Amino acid sequence: MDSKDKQKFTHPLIDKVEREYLKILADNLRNGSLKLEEAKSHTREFLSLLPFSSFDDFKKKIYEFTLTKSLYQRIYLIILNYEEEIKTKNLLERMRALIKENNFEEALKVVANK
Amino acid sequence: MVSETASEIPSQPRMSEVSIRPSVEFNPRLSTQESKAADSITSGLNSGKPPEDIMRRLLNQKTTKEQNTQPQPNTQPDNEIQSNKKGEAGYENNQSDTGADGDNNIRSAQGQEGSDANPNEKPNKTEEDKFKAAVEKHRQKHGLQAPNLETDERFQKIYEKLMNDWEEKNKEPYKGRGGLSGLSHEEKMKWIDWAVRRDEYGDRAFSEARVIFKKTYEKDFDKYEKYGVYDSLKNDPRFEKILGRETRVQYKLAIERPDIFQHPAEIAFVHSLDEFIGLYPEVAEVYAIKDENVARVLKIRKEKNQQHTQPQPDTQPNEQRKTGREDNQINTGEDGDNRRSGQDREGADANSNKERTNNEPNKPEQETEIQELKKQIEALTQEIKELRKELEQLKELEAQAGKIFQHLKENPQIAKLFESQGAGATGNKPLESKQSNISKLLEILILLLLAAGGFAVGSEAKKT
Repeated sequence: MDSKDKQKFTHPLIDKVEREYLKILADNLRNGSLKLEEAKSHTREFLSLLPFSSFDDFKKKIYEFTLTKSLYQRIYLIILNYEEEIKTKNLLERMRALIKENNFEEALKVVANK
Repeated sequence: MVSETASEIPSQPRMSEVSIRPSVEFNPRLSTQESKAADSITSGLNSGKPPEDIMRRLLNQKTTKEQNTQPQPNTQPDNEIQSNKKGEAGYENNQSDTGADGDNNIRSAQGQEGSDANPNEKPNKTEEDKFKAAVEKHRQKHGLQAPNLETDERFQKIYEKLMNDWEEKNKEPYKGRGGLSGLSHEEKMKWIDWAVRRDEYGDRAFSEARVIFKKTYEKDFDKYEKYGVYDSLKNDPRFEKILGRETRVQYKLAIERPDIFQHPAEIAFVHSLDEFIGLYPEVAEVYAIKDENVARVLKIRKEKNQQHTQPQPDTQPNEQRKTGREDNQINTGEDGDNRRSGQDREGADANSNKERTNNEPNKPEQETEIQELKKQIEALTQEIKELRKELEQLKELEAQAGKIFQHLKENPQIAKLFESQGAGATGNKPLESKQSNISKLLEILILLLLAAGGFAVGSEAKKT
């Protein structure tokens, strides 16, 4: 990965989070719990978070955004869920590689040390 | 696995307890500015537009009442936001690559892992076993090394190599430090950042591996494109692609004509299913084992095909018609049981029946078709004869009308009347068609009626 990529964090997860944000927005505009002006204001704020420099930056900014607006808490949960997925995936890959080499003890250690 | 980071906000529920997809439904009847904005967002999402474009469009939407306009602490002017995004070609490209559903982006390389199908929809074990057996049979029939490209060992090796190359260039931080538990918060975040980047590259490597595989094993790649089978229709990338495109089209139509297109998602699904079955009929046969929707559409398509080959079923001998229907029912199945029994049949036998029914109509059917065509030709010949007769009659009428016309013209009063009506030119000109004949005759009749009074006066004068 080159230096430019390191500076700007681009990931399909951002798109997923943004879409989820818009879905929540549409739902709440429709059921009357959000006024258009509020939606606009929230969207302005959301856009001001861009761009993200890293996953950590992305996570932090979304966390702060959802901290004051609990309506959008679900988008932060998507990030947490993804983080968990990544960890699990990585763990399983490491275990799979060790088991392939018949190194069961090391594979067990991976789980124990997680 | 217990979340380490989730513990940061203990009050939050687990992901499994939360519906990630809110029920955003298309409701054309709502008319307030809020609901218009909501509809605009929904349509934007369904049309696959980049979310940031949708957000900017929302900001540009005019409001009738300016209320609750308290600026947020981080509020930034729109033009500033725009400038922030400038030069992010990579990001924009990434956005535009996404389909209607962002979920597709984080697809695992294995493809078969992590099926998001509803557990309630899962077929029972016997159906699953039958499905597996059918997949195996299908794989052997078409000479595939694996059920689909993603499970092909050669593809996996290419993918693994790409991933290893990436890891060579981007070393895992804190490797051998005894897992995440031994790391500080900052170190953990650094490691997660690395893992996220690795995962992101995984998606790119997946696409790259496809390209490499296509170049290296072109024939096999084409086979997978045509006959590859996944664990369900929903997880089939070809179906996902069709559904994504069709959903965008249907939502566009629903916005343009909400009175007609009221269930875009359902219509899109049905259209996609039909298209998929049309493009990949043999793959659909395999999915039909455990998917009732596929089985139903397959059955309808087969019946349609049968109707094409048998345009007049009543002209067929009774016995033959009966056997034909039985074959069809066994192959497609009226209900689940029949479908299962159809699948139990030996492939070769079932295939021969299917081919005969769909592609090679037998001799009596052809004869019936020829006889039917002959009948149609005879009927058309008869119709032409009748039309010729009518034309002759019209010509006779025309001649008679001409005589009457000449006779009437002799009367100066009627001649004046004809001139005033502009009918002088209609004299004895040959009529070009049946339609013009009728219209001209009608014209003459009207004139005759109009002139009835004058004619009577003329004849009275002659008598005296």
